[in-house]
Amino acid sequence: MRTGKESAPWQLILLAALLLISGVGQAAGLLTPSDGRLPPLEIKSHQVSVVIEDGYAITTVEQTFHNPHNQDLEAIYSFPVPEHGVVSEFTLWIDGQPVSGEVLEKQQARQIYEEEKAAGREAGITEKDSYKTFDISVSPVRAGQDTRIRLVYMQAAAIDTGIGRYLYPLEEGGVDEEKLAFWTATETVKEHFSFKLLLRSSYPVDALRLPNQPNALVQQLPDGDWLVELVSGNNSQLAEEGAPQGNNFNPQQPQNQAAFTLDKDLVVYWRLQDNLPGSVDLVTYKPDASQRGTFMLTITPGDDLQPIIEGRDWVFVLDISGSMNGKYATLADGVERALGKLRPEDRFRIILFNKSTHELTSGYVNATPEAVLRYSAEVAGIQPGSGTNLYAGLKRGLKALDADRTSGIVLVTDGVANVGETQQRKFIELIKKHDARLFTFIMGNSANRPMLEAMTKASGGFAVSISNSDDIVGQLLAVVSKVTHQALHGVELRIKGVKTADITPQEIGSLYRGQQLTIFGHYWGEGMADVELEGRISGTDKNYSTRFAFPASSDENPELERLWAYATIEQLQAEMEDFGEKADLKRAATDIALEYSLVTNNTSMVVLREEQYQARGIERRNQQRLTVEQAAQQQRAQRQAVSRRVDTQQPMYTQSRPSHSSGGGAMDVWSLLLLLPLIGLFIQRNRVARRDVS
Amino acid sequence: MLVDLHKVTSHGSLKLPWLTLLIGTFAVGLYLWAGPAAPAWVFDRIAIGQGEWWRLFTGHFVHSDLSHLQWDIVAFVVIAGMLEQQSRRLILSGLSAGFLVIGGWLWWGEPELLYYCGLSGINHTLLVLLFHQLWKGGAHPLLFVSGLAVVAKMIVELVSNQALFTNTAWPSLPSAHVAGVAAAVLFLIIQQRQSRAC
Repeated sequence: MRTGKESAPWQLILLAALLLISGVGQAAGLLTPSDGRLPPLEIKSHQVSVVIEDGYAITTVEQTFHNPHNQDLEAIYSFPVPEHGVVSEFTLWIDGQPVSGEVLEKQQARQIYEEEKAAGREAGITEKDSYKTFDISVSPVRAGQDTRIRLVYMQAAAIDTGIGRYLYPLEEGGVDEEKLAFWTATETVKEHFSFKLLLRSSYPVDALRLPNQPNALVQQLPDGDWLVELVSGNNSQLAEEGAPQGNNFNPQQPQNQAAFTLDKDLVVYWRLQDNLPGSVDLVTYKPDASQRGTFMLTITPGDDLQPIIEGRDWVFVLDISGSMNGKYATLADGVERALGKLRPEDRFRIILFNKSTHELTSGYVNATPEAVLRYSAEVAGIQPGSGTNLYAGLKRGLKALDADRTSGIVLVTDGVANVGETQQRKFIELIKKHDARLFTFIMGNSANRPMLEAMTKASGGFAVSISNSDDIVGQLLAVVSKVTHQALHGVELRIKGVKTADITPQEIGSLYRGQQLTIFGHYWGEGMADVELEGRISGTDKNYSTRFAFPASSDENPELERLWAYATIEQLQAEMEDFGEKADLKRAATDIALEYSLVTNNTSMVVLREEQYQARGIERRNQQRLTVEQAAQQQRAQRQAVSRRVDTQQPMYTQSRPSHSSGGGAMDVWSLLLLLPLIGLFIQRNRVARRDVS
Repeated sequence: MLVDLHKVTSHGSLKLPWLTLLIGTFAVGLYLWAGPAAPAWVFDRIAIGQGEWWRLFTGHFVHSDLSHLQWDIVAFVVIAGMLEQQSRRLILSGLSAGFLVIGGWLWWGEPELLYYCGLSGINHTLLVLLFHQLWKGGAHPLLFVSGLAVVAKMIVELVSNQALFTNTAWPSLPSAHVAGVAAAVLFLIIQQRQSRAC
């Protein structure tokens, strides 16, 4: 939404009221009210650079907005919240100089932004609309001028069954019809778009892939890093402006003059080499040896979970509400393939829900090829519509269970419950009443991911995010390998020998085949630590242990502090959803967000002119933190990727990691030796033939 | 067979196996140009499912590392080179049969297999055809012993599900070798029936 500087007062009041409503378009983009009162701005450029290293991804988005009109306007850019992504930087170019933002409590930040805007001074704000979107507002974009912004967010990197996955979310979930009707989104990048991802892995990577983007250029650099580039539009200006910070990309770029539309997610997969060992990786940040340090411990289990061979029951609970339009084809495709993976001794039921529930099957059906074919076609033929009574759908699915057989519920939803029961704790109570694992496919970017993950975890199952841009077969293979193998349940981690605290997640739950366990925490001092991972496999206790050193000091990964802080805030928010919002929990979450300068449900990041920070007495804490982080990023960029594995001396696992199967037809020197007699025979006969001819 | 040899070796002298060299050069060139396990060419189940069917063929010419490439290429040049002295058509037939049967096996017989690359499945198809040609030229104890050794090696690899002596970046897939052998056997059966029908 934009307001003109010379707009009538009533318009300003109306627009200020409208600003309280977070904008949602059909995709990431600049928002304009749908009633046509204000002209749309343009996205002149959109440059994304991602660096994945040391177990986490840092995404930098630089954009330039252009105002082609003769009045000053406000720009509002909205994009889906990345999975567990935390915004750490919002920078606005003022008078040609970058000015970074500071985090304040949400209401205070909004009030200051409004005051600055009303005074006609340059200002910007980044807010989080719960689990749905990050909304960036910038005012003013001067008439006929450009405005440049930069946003940086970070998130833990996900690797599952040897496949890494990074998602740049652009496709809006379409779960809020009221907001969709209110806003129109400008999604087209007028001049140039670029997406560059640099993967720096200390574990060997076999391949990297960006599906559905034939113009993407993928290359392995001489130092072993991998780079993927996707460029669209006029790139001459890219060279002038330079790539965003923290990267050292190859200047050769593929050219594609077509305009880019910000309406489809970009997914990048990378495949680690097969047969890598199960491992424990430790990344730390402790700039002062005498102070508290932060660590990220990543455990990648070996493949010692056995296949499950007895037949099982599967209850598919499928969301057919209106918000699934646009995702339903992916759902139907996934269900068809999932049914195709069932064995004849398995049984299944299919339950559909929107504002009410309906069972497609009549009781359990044996997974014969005929039944799979029939019900796949029926699922594909359904037209989604109406509201979402997720609770009723789940309740019906749980009721359908047969107590005498091992059962699993496959829930496929975009996860915004808006009819009937919608409280998270009620869902968890419902799940805990039944002995069944819940496996949740979270569709799209606007799902209530926190709630779905909480209830899935409560059942001992797992959740998987699915984008329309995903390789549905690949995602499905990962899921199938999990549900067809045993899992390690009731997982607990113990660290002895070094003082640790503030561990998150506090409750780990279950580990399925291919899953990594990532733990954040604080530690004091240094020295050798005994680390034990305990759990149960099919009721039998299982224990894994290793021993390694926590360093006295380390300064390469300051971002760990923010990653720890955000993981802790997410845990506090989950507690509030479970047990009701308590003032002390909310205060704790807000204080952590303020201390570590994070954009959360309770805090926003505001950019003001430098003199206004001083005039308002706002400390430049985030600026100091950014200086440290950017220095560390530059330092890391100048050296090769470093191995963070710490259990080499005393491996925690004896087995290799599970991976998706790959194979090569290979000969060897012995095969060639076996050919020697044939060669001899061939030569002998050839001589005979020559003699006969002569 | 001796008669055949007379025909194809131009009065007993060896001729340049240009088809073998062409195919071998292509595989080496692909490795040098696109790198190990070239993502755009390798057998990739998901990409094939999305319509990139050519990977069923090109995957055979892709190699996962230098060691994988060198032994596969040397074996190919030796086997196909000898076979080409006798019949260039036989190489093309062997390649076609190998593409079809190995590709079909990888797709339907190894449903969990996401990626595959390498020429050795095809090498096994050509090896069986070479055995057959030499056998036709007269049974010899060396043929018998070599054949037994190859079969024993394949059985051991199949049972242990790994190649005996290779150490490549991608784990070996012994069943692809068996599929290669099956391709040659099927081809020979069909050829024999056709010749009988004629």
